[in-house]
Amino acid sequence: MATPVVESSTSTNFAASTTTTTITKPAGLAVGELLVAAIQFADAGSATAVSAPAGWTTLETVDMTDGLRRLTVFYIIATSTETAASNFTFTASNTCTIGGGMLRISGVAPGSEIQTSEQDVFSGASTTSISFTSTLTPNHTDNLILLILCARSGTAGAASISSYTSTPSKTWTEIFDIGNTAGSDLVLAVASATSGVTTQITNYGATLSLPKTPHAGVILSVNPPINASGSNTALEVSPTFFSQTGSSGVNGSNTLLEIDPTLPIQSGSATAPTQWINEPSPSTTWINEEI
Amino acid sequence: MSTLYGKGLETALKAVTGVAAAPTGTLKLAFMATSYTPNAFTDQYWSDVSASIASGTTAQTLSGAAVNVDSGNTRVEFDTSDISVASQTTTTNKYVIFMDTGTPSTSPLIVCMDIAEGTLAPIAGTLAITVNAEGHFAISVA
Repeated sequence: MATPVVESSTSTNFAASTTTTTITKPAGLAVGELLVAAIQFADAGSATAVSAPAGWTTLETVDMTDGLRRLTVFYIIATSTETAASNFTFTASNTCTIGGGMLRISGVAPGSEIQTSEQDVFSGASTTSISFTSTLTPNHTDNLILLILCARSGTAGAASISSYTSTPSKTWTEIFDIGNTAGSDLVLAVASATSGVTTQITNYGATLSLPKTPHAGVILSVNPPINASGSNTALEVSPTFFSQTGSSGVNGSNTLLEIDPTLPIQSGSATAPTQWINEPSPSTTWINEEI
Repeated sequence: MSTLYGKGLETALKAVTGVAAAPTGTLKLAFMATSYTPNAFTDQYWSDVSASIASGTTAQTLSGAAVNVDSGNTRVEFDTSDISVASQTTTTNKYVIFMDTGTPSTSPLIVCMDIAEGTLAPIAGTLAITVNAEGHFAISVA
C-alpha cells in the first residue's frame, strides 16, 4: 500500500494574551482523511490546558514547564462535520500566547490511523540544535512519519526551524513553520517523511535559527492500510491399518469319528391276536361207486 | 502445528459408514488468534474454540469445496477456493475450517491450518489466503 500523503496544511501564527487560536480548515478535506493539529502555548499565568473542538482526540500533551507552556497534538478522522466546517478553534483554559497548525492527510488506515507516537522535552541551555532520542519503530515501510518541533524564549526574535534530521536518515519535507515575537518568541514547525524502513528511529531533530530553550518534540507514525496475504502447506495424514485375522476353506483329512450310539429305551405295545380254534373236522369214509 | 480434528474425522466416518447422519450447514473458515493451540481431541465444535477467533474478524463462508481423489499420490484431498477479506485489522497465524450448522455447539471442527508465512497483521487492509494447489489437507490411502 502507498504511504499516506500530506495533502495540505494551514497554520495560525502566535498571538499573545488570548485564550483561543483558530485555524482554517485545510483545503480539499474529505471524509475519512486524517487531520493532525499541533497547538503550542506559553506565557500562561498558571497551569493551562488546551481543548480541541468536539470529536478530536488528544494524542500528546508535552509539558515544557509546569503546565505554563505546552505543546499539544490532536487528531481526528474527518466526518461530514469537519468537512463542512470552515475552521477549527482550540481553546486554552487561561490567557496565554497561543498558535498552531493543521495537516490534512489522505490514505490512512481507518480505525488504525496512528501507529504510535512519542514526546520529548529539552530544558538545558539555549541552543540552536533540537535533538531528541527516540524508540519509535515504524511497523511498515509505507508509514508516514511526522516530526512536530517547537521552542520558545532564549535569544529574542522571531525564529524558524529547518534542516530536519533523523537516524536512520530520511527525506524530510517541511509542512509549516510559524514563529514570531508575540509573547515569548515561540516557534513551531512540522515536517514529514516516508518511513522507508521498519528500523527503529533512534534520533530526530532540526536546527533553530536562534538559540532557544526549552524545546519540545513529538514524533508519530501514521499507518496506511496494510494488506496481508498468506498460504497454507497442505497437511497430509496417513491412515493406520490394523492387522486383521481371517480364514478360508482348505483340503484336509479326517479322522474317523466313532460315536457310541445312545439307545433309548423304547416303550412299545402290541395287540394280542385272536386265537382261532379249529373245530375238529368230521370224519367221512368215501365209498367209491362203480359206474 | 496443522491439526486434523479427531472428532471431525469421527463425524465424517460415521456419516460414510451410516453410523450417524452427516451434519449439514455452511462450510466456514475462521482466522484464529496467535495464542490458540488446537487440541485434536478436545476441540470438537465451533463453540469450543470460537472465543479464540482473531480479534476484529468473523468467520467467512468458504466456496468451491471439493474432495478430490489423487490416485497418483495415493491420497484424497480436500480443497476450497481462496479466501480474501477486506478492511481487516487483526493478527493471526492460523485458520480453522468448520461446518456451521447454525448452532455453534453442533458445528463440527474439521481442521486447523497453520499459515505458511507465519503471522499476518493487516491494518485496515485485505487479509487473504491462497490455498495450496493440493488443497488444505489430504488423507493418504496407503
